[in-house]
Amino acid sequence: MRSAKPIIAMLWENWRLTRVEAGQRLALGLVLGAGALILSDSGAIIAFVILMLVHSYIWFSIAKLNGGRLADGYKPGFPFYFHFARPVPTAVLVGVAMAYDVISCVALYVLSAALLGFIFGQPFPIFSVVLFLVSYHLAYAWAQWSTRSRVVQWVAAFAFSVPMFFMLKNRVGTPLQVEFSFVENMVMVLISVASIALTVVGVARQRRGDSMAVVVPQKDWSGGYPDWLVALFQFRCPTSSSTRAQVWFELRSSGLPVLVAGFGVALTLFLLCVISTSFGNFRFVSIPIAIIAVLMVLFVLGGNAFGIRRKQGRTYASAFESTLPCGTAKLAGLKVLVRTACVLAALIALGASLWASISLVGDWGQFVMNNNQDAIPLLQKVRQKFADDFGGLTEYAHVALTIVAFIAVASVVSWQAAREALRARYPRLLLVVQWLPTVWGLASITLALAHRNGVVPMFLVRGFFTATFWMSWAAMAIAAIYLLWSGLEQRVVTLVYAGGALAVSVAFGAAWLAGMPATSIVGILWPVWLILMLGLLAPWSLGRARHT
Amino acid sequence: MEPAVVDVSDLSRAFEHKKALDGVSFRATAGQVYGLVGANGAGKTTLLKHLLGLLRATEGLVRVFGLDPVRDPVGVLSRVGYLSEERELPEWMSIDELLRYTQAYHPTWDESYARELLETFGLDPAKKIKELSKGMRAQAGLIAAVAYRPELLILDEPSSGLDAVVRRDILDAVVRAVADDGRTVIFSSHLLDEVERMSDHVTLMHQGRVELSGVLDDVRGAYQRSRVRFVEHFDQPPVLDTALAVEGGGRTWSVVHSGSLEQFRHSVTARGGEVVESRDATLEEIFLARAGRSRQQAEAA
Repeated sequence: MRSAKPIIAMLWENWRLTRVEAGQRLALGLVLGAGALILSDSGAIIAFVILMLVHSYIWFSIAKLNGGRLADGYKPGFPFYFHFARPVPTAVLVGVAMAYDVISCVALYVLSAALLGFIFGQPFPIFSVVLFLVSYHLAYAWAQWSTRSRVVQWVAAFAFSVPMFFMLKNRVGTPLQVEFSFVENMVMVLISVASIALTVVGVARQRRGDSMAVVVPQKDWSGGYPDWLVALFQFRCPTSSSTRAQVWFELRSSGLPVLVAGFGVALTLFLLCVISTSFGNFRFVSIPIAIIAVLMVLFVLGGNAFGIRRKQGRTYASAFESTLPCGTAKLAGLKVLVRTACVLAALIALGASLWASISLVGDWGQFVMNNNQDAIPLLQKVRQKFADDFGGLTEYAHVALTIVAFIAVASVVSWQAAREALRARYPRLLLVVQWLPTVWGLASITLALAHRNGVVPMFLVRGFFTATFWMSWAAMAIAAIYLLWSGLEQRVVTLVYAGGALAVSVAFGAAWLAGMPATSIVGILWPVWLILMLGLLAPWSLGRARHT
Repeated sequence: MEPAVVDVSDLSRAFEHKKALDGVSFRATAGQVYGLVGANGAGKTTLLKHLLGLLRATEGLVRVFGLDPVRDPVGVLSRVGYLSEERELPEWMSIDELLRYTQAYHPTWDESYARELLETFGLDPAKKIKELSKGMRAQAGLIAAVAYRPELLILDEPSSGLDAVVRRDILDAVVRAVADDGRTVIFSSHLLDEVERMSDHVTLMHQGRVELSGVLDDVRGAYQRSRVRFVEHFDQPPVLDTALAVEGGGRTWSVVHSGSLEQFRHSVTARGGEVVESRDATLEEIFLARAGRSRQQAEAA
């Protein structure tokens, strides 16, 4: 009984740390899985893959303890390092965290699969994939926790994630079932046991202070970009104006590292396609990686432009930047603009890489996907269509598209920056707002199911979507007006900035109309108003984080 | 009345349900050094953060140079120098980059003064912030805070991490130089000897309230520490007029008291005792006496 109390305390800490994300992942798996089952003929397999991804490959909850997301300012190593001073054996420290991680994700998968199976009458594999989930999580924990080297973490995670993905892929049958061989099951058992043992050894080294980063503490300022990446570009800070100095600051601290990371991803993608010419198995990862790369550049490298910091559960704006004699609107504008330019350049590099990569797929011979169709002609067709469509545009249309792309990326960067700033000030309210799309998705799926079973007539379904569209419109309009009034009143938004935000929104609308057809006046006004709202939200939220 | 550089009136601030500041009023004029003293959690840093606009006043008024630091951060911060351990300097910058970056924001930057301080501290401008010790970081931060000759210098626990030599020889010198130049310094510290050495004015904070505020010499002169001897044996501290803290036992007690010595002597005589010796109380004795007294008041309430 002596060790029961610390274990309960550790389990409680785990629960506190992961409960929100557990709820989000449960809802996300249900919404996306149900969407796939409703919308696609091969929805069962897609839903199964979604559930497996949501409950294994993209599970980062405990990483929050180390300072946040994988690529953004986390401190590598065992996340419960503050337990090291407790009178508990390392094996227990590691065992409890691993057990919680494994049990919670397996339980969530089983619950999601059972619910979807019950609602849609589509049985999902449960017991046959439990060992896979367990071994994947344990191996992932080993890769992330047993070392303080980021490089080892990434390489190790990649080294077992990809083969395990292929193993799973090769064992998925139609109709949906998963059957692993006896040898595969034994390998997974061995992976699990070895992962536990190696993690205990690795964490014990960190606890004793033998590990590298214990000697060289990781103190992040630059949003978590490695020092060598930040130090890659050395150019002197201009002293002639504060604006130039701030642009220099943004470029050095995060802009150029983002650009380099984006170029690195683009190059990796191209090399992967080149390697795939000789090694067929790489073809299956090239396409998912291409999709993930675009999302990563936009949402990971484009995230947290305001440099909001996280330390030991506290989210706050940097006091160094908050005490600069710089207006909030100017500071927010410069940060968003510099980051947008760098993210856009990275996306262009990625686009060029994809363009060049698709030209290589002809050398692959065949690329047969799950539906037994060769994907290469499809990829080439997409490339050709893109070339025809884009090449056929006028110069004005090219300029218009560039403006649309820049403003769209700026809006994504603004939203992410504002979200982090709001998290520092209104974490609970933000959580509620972020849940709204999921709740809307759940409501939509319930309605669609009810309509399919003849319970709800079509006009009610249409009425729901029309009502939510106009409600979101009204919410956006009210929010934009409030942000403008509040921002001007508190002087975080200047008249010049507000005018600029309005001009950008109008430019977006005009560029859209010049480059692409609009379905209706409401259809074009919706994104224009959204951009205006995000433009005003950025300085307002930074002001809230700066002056708490 | 001299125009105030800093004017805080009836400032209150709560975090969740805990009151960090409770009706604080504070005034600072040009050319003076103001020391804020108090235990951890007394509200010193919270008050300073309000002066910088890092915290928004929920009740009361904060004016720096007559401006609201939240509504006009440029107007205030361009005239204020700030040093704090919480102001984590960008680790990736070198000292030279930090100084150039700060210079770009301040047209009044005095390059020769910055170089002089660099030499005094013995700092290598090419060194990165992350390579510096805690004390060296504080020195680099101090240069960045004073080299543009701000009209108001705010130092939050400036001694934290500095060794005794740096603290006495350099920090004192910089602070005195700033004040002698006709500018204002407000600094917080829990090192009472430091406050006694450097300040013209002292403000004692306790549990979010200003317990005591005034010119240092006046404050010290208003409190005495006296040793008293009674004929009678007391098991509990005797009740004496104007006494703030009573220590000792039996017949001999040591008392920190305010007001005139005559009044105190009269009170002691009335209890059958005599004042053996008396001297001005130190700031530490005043602080402990006042803090203890407010704790007793809080407990009684």
